[in-house]
Parts: sequence; structure tokens; C-alpha cells
Amino acid sequence: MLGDDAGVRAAYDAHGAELYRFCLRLLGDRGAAEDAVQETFVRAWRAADRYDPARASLRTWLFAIARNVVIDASRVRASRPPVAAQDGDHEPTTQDAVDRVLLACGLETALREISTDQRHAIMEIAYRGRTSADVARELGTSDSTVRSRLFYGLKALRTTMQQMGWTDVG
Amino acid sequence: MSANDHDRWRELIGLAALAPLDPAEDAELRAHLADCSWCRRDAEHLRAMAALLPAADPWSAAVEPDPALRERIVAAVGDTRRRDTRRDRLQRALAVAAAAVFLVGVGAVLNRPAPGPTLEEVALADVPADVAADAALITHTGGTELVLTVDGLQDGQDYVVTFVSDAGERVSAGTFIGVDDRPVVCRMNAAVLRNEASAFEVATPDGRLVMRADI
Repeated sequence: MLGDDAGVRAAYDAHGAELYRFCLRLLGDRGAAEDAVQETFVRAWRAADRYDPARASLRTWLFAIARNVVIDASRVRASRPPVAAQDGDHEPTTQDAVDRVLLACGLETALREISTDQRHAIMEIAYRGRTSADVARELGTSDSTVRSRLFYGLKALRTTMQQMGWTDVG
Repeated sequence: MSANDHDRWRELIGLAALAPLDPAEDAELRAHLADCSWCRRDAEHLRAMAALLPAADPWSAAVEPDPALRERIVAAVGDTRRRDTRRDRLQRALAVAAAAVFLVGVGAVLNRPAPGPTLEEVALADVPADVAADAALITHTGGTELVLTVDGLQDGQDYVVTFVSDAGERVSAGTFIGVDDRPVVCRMNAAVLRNEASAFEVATPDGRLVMRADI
């Protein structure tokens, strides 16, 4: 899987950008996020013989490693005295905070993967609080079509989240 | 129940997961869910899915990492792979060397009543970053033996091993040739007594020091 350069490239192409966004959101610094993604892949390679694809997807496994890398990195930063104004006060990132960001990143990735029509229906109704009739009018389609997109969009989102390793999505 | 009926329930279930239905639709759906386990299951799944949505910021830009990160990671994993492989090979070679010394010891015990040789581990200094090495000494009646296991040296390069005595005298323990695809295990002997030896050095014939140990 990560056994050679081609395997590392394939894993990075599939999950690197998403891992980066996850690390960036928690560490708040592009350089630190890149270092964390690199450390994730190095640790993954070292632990590759313990990876069982029957138990977890590669994505789930990489994110479990990245989660630990970020917690370790934030502990190191929190223990370091701030030397410059931009260092600010770093609280160590709690596991709860990491898990919230993990969920947010998963949802945002899943939202990008479902169809445009379904995503539009969910965005307008769930996040903008509009009514299905209002959205239907704007699109020049029927209320029933928009509601149907909501149903299948939520189903597709759930399936995508499950494929990404989330088991608590109903 | 017709397929059209189910289309109607799905429209209500999807919307109900995200927003309140009007009272008539709400009563209609509740009545149906009481009777239909399939739709009840869909409604539960979608409600659980919808409950997670506030955790996301769907308008967040999909920030992309620096394009150079991909190859930086390939190189970092490659370096780790080579270093770990070299360390594993070194550990295997050391195990073989230790077993050989043990067998010599067993042979000595079987052939004569004198005690077998014991390995005295020594700490190496100035070892280049891309070289893995381990060293041990064996005290002999007529001199000192160095068991040197080293991986990652330059292929085909000659190396000279020299002991230094307490008096500053330099005593050659011999030479060996580097290989880069497997660890080299060298057993070198110097005509200096263990209790009079203070250091040894590994260097190229032109005098470039590769590693050393204070002993």
C-alpha cells in the first residue's frame, strides 16, 4: 500500500489534500500543517504491517494517525514559551476539538462528493434556512423535485460518510 | 401502496429531517411512519445524518496544500524506508556476529577450561548521518579484537582501522572495503593490549576520519 514511492503517491493523491485541510484547521499554520501531513505518512509507512484493510479504509487509518500527530504537535507547541507575538497562546488541542474538526472535514468532503443538485438543496435548506418552495421557485422546478433531492442528497451524504469510516451517521 | 406513494413519503422524510413540516404534512407522515418500518428506518437515518450537518462549514474554501508537498512526502517516506531497512539489516548482522562470538565461546569452553571471549560494547562517535554502525571489543591475551558492523559506507572505498594506545602510539588493525548494499561485519585485530588501548579510528587511506570511539 505504502510499500513504494508509487504507493505513497497514490495514497497522497487520494487523501493528502483532505489531511492537509484537517491539520491546517487545527494547527492554523500552513508550514505546521504540511509537517503534520508528512509525519502522518512517515508514521503510516512505519506501521504499515499493522494496517488491515478489512478493518478500516486507508482514509480512516490515515486520519487516525493524523489525529495523533496533530495532538502531539499541539502539545509541543503549547509547552513551548511564546517567542514572538504571532505565536500567541497555544492551548493544547483537546481530543474533543480534534474530533469536531475531523467530523467537519469529513462532512465538507462528503458534501463535495454528492451531486450538485442534491448539494444545492441541502445547502439552501439546511444551512441557509430557506423553504423548499422558495428554492423550487428560484430553480424553476417543482417543490416535490427539491424535496426529493433533499431525501436522496441526505442518503448519499450518509453513504459517503459511512464509506469514509463514519459509523455513527444513523 | 404504490411507488408514487413512496415518492411522496420520501419527500416528507427528507424535509422533516431538516425543517419542521406544516401540521397537516407532519400528521400525515407520523401516521405513515407508525405503520411502515422501512420509512421509519429511513427517517431515523436521515434525521441522524441531518443532526451532524451543523458541525460543518460548507462554505469553507477547499484550501490546497503546496504542490511540492507531494514529492516532499515521497522523499521523506523513502528516506525513512532506507534508514529503517539499514537499521534492520544492521540488527540482523549484529545478531549473527553475536551468535558467532557465542559459538567461539562455546568452542573454547568445550576445548579447554579457559573462559570464552566476552563482547565489550563501545559507543561510536562522529558516525556520518547516513551510516549505521555498531562496535564491540574482545580482549585477547596478545592484543585487542574489534568486531565492527557497519552499513551505508561508500561502495568500493578502502577503510583503515587504527588503534591508539595510552602512550599515543598508533597501531594498525588492518583495512576493509566498503559495500553499500548490505552491512559489513569486520573482525580486526591490533597488537595493543586492551588495558593499554584508549581509542580506535576508522578512516579513509587519505586520512579522512569516518568514525571513532574512546575505549
